[in-house]
Amino acid sequence: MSELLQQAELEKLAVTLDAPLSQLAFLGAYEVETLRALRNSVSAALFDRQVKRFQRLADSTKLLPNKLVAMITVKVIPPMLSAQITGLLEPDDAVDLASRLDVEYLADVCVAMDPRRAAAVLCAMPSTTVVEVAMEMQRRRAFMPMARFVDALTDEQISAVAQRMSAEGLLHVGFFVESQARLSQLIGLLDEEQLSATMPAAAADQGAMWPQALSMVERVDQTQRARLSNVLSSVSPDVLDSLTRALFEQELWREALPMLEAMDDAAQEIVVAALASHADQAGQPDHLESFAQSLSERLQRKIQIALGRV
Amino acid sequence: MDLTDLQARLGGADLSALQALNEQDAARLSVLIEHACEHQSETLKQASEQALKHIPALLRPAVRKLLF
Repeated sequence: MSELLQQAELEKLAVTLDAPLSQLAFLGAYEVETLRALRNSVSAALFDRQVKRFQRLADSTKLLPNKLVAMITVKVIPPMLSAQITGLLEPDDAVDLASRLDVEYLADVCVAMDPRRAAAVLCAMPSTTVVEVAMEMQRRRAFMPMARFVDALTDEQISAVAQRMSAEGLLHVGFFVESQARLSQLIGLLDEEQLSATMPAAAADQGAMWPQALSMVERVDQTQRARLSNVLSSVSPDVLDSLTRALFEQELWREALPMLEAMDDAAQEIVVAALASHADQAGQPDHLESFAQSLSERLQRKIQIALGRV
Repeated sequence: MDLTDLQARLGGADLSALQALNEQDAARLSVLIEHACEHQSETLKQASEQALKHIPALLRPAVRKLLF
């Protein structure tokens, strides 16, 4: 799990440095927190050293009609540069300019942007624009940059985007969101239908997304953890089979612990039965029993009963 | 180049986070930061010059004054 987060941090740092990811391989041994601190520090340094010139560029747009500024922007201002200037524009001007730029250019800008520096501008954007850009970023599978916007956008904008995103996209983005409080709010904005699509999305592609899904469940607050976990009470047998396989084959026991504890009785019965059945078939009941020792007494007993040990 | 030199070259930027790296890795990252700075300066310069070419002649002096 931490390897995925570490990879994500290295990718963000590569974007900040405008360097190929391969050139950052020497940082592969450092903790996620260290890489995050490095990225924030480098990003601030690169912005601060040119902030006066960025401000002058932003000011120059006031001398010209936005139609001309938009035309010049697309022709000669690289998205990386626009990303730095965006936060220095007046929010109304930025909204008008964004309406004149194509969605591909806006998505390029967003990939390079540090949303914390453009919060006022981002909050002023109409949800329709935010959704269009988000869909383009999803199409490009730019999930990690998308996650950085979750902190900066309003609930209304986030909700509008969430309505249109695929369940797979939500899992990817949720995995990369840094703030646990904001991640909980994001999950809280999903309706039951969207929630119920998350677990099947984790099971798709041979269960490739279970690590992300379990990490998300682990990081949200108690209320949202229970909502997400209880989805498992109504999923198809295929999804349950995929989960149990992932737990046994990918050794995701520790990551699954918060989810198992957060479920209501109905969901626990279903998942425990699936786990016991898989353990029997795979000849690994001891493996499951050993894991059960790290669970609450109530859940341990349920597993022992399902395994026929009581 | 040590960290103090790099910070000075970046206008006193706070790069204390680099202290978490070993000496060799900090030096390698410093090189990448320097390249990023050079690239950023060059991009800004080129973009400003190119932008001026698209601005109507009457407005160009005022924008040039602002940009450079």
